[in-house]
Amino acid sequence: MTDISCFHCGEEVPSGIDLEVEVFSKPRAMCCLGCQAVSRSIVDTGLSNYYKHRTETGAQPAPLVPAQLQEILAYDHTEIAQDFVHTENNLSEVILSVENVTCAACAWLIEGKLIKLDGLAKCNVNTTTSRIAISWDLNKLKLSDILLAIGQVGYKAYPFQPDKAEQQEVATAKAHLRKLIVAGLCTMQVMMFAIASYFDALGSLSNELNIYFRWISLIIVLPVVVYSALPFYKNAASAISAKRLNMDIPVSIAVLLAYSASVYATWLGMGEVYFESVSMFVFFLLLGRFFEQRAKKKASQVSSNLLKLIPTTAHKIASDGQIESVPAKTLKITEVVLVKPGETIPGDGVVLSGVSHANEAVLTGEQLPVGKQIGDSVFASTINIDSPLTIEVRCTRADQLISQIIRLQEQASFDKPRLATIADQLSQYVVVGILLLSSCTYIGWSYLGNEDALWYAIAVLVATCPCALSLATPSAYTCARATMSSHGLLLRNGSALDTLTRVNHICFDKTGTLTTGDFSVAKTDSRIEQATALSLAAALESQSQHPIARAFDQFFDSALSVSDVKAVSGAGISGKIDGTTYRLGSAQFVKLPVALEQKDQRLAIYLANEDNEVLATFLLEDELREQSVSLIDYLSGHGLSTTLLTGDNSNHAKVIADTVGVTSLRKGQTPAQKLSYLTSLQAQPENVVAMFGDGVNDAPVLSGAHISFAMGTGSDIAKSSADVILLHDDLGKVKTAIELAHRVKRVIIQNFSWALGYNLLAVPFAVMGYLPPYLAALGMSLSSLIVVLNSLRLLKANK
Amino acid sequence: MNILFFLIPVMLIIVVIAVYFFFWAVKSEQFEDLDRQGANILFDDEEDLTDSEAKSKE
Repeated sequence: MTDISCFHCGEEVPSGIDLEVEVFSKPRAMCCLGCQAVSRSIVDTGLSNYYKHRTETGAQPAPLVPAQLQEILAYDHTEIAQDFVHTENNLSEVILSVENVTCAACAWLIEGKLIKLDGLAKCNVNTTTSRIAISWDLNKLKLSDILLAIGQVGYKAYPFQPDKAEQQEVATAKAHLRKLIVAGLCTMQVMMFAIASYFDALGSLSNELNIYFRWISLIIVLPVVVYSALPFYKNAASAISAKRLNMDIPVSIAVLLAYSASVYATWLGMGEVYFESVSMFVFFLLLGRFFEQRAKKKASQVSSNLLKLIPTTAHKIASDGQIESVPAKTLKITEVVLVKPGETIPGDGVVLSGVSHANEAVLTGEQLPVGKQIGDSVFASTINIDSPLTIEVRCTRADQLISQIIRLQEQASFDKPRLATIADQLSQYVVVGILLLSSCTYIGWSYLGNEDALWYAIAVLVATCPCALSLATPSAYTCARATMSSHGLLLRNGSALDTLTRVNHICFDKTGTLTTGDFSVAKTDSRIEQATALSLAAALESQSQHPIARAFDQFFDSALSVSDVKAVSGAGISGKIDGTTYRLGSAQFVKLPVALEQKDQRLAIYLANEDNEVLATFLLEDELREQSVSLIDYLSGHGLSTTLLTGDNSNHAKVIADTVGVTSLRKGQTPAQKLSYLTSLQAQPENVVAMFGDGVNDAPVLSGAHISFAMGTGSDIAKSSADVILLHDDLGKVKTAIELAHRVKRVIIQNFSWALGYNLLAVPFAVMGYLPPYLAALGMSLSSLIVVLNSLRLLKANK
Repeated sequence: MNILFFLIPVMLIIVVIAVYFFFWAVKSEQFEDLDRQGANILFDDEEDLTDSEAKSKE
């Protein structure tokens, strides 16, 4: 039975599972209830052809838990929906991000399912971006119905927060594509006439026709000069007004001067014309930027898709005792809300009734629950764990602790120091060189009384055409980005790679970054057999929702059944196994004599029997990620200093610091203290600092650091603050990223040397007038091609 | 060769038309998802999609 795989998801069907769905008139084995439900729904909707055309197996769907259902229903609240749903004339429009859309069959399946809903006007699945654009009739259909329908065919869709970079790019990307198309079509046309002139060595073209060709070329190139090249003039103008030099300045001068000189020559009917060079020049430059933009857009789309918009709803208790479900953002001061176990606390406030524990990891980074009783403060975005709490809201939304952290992050990202990249520095010199050289040529020849001085100056500008130069960095970054995403690293900002080669100090957050943030059993002291003790504990903990309980999951033995379970909030759990009552929990809970209590700072859990006899002691700790130690070793080996920057004030921080071997330790740091430590490091000009983090509390430091890395499982705000996202939380890949960054730097330097070398070689010929236009154009294209090919080497796997 | 004096302006008009169609394609987002369209033809003649196809083209 073991070699049967699930027809839907391709996973192995576990032994003892006997589920089937009839597809194409044959019973097909299914591995779980989730796959069965999805497959049945696909067949019932008449979409079985999905199975015929799919190129990859489906994802194993997880059945919706009630909390998720609650979440989906919350999207129907007008106050929540208005953030991402656009409504006009009863038609609502929304763009959703979908997980696991892998091929055209998936897109067809979702569209086929949705289109059958009554009231749906249009839906379009984009497999490149993993998004669905939907518009529907608000009176006939609810957003939650659409989300549930998508769920029925096994996909998860949710609204997302568009990345800031993406919002800006959407507008410019289309304009850029239009400019590129105009430049491309015009270049093709103008080359036709140019080639006729190039090869007219025998003079078979009549003079009349030659002049006609020139005038036609003038007209064709006009839209390229006034429309396609517009972005270059804009960038050049903004650089000049900021008293800086950039590559767009010589580009603009070359384009405008070459075009006007050619127009002048056409008007006089003498001299050389450079229409085809101008047009091709603009086309190649736009093409380079187009590819760079594509790669950037892809990266920002992926990171936007990570930022799910999950609404928080609150159960407001009205003065008459009625409970009403409202969006958290509408809560006002002094309003009273009920927070059920497992729910997110909707606002900062004070506990009016109830005793529970809250997971405040989102604010402090610490997974260990904090006890809450009447009169204690609770904070928005933290999670209530074990029993219901009634809370009175005491803060407006803007004053909440989490809003304060977000403001700190925004401030930090505004103040982020920008390091000039190697490309910036090099191109400064190149630009100065080009401008000096061409003006010298002009002044020199004018001084000698040559009437063609302007022609020579333009020849120099065209020959030194910085086409290859301006492709040097974008092409390298584009390839590096592709390589990094194949390693599970999402590069949000290309110039971060350049910064990475210069980093000499790295700060790490502890919980969730160097450690997994999950507890595991580090040590067991037992009077009975160790395995028995662990499986007894696991059986008891399987009845508990507490985060600590997950530490015992791997020891779970289905042969043990537990009855009479009693959980005491914040203390422990007791239950009857094989007729004996066991108690598992804190020292007080098992009535442990104080003398025997573990003084070790690690978290201790005790297992006792009916007679209060302690059978076993488990020491738990936050598990270190596998790759943490080797990463820190690698970094220290390369002479980088490392700091553990953590909010944890316990001894555990010291233990972790010693285990991984960081250079220094800063513990008990608030988000503001972390940021000020970072600022003090970065105040020294020789320091280039990188930061690794995952939580909301790390967001300000991540924003403020020269370069920052966020964990893929980290909080949204951490991810949107970071330059690089480790999608699979694999710290080992950082090593790859550093090595790749060094290779990128080498490739960029090679590209620059080649482009510059070629230009320098061509200049003397251009100055003397020995470089015919078609050779200059051909050389320029070849030079650009070599630069691009060199950058493509970055796509090869690390050797 | 005199025919060129007539044909080249005609060519210019055709280029303008081509640019117009490219702009239209950009505007209607035809360049947004280049991966999927190739496989779409597989689904077109399926019986149970005919009504939904018609609907999505509205």
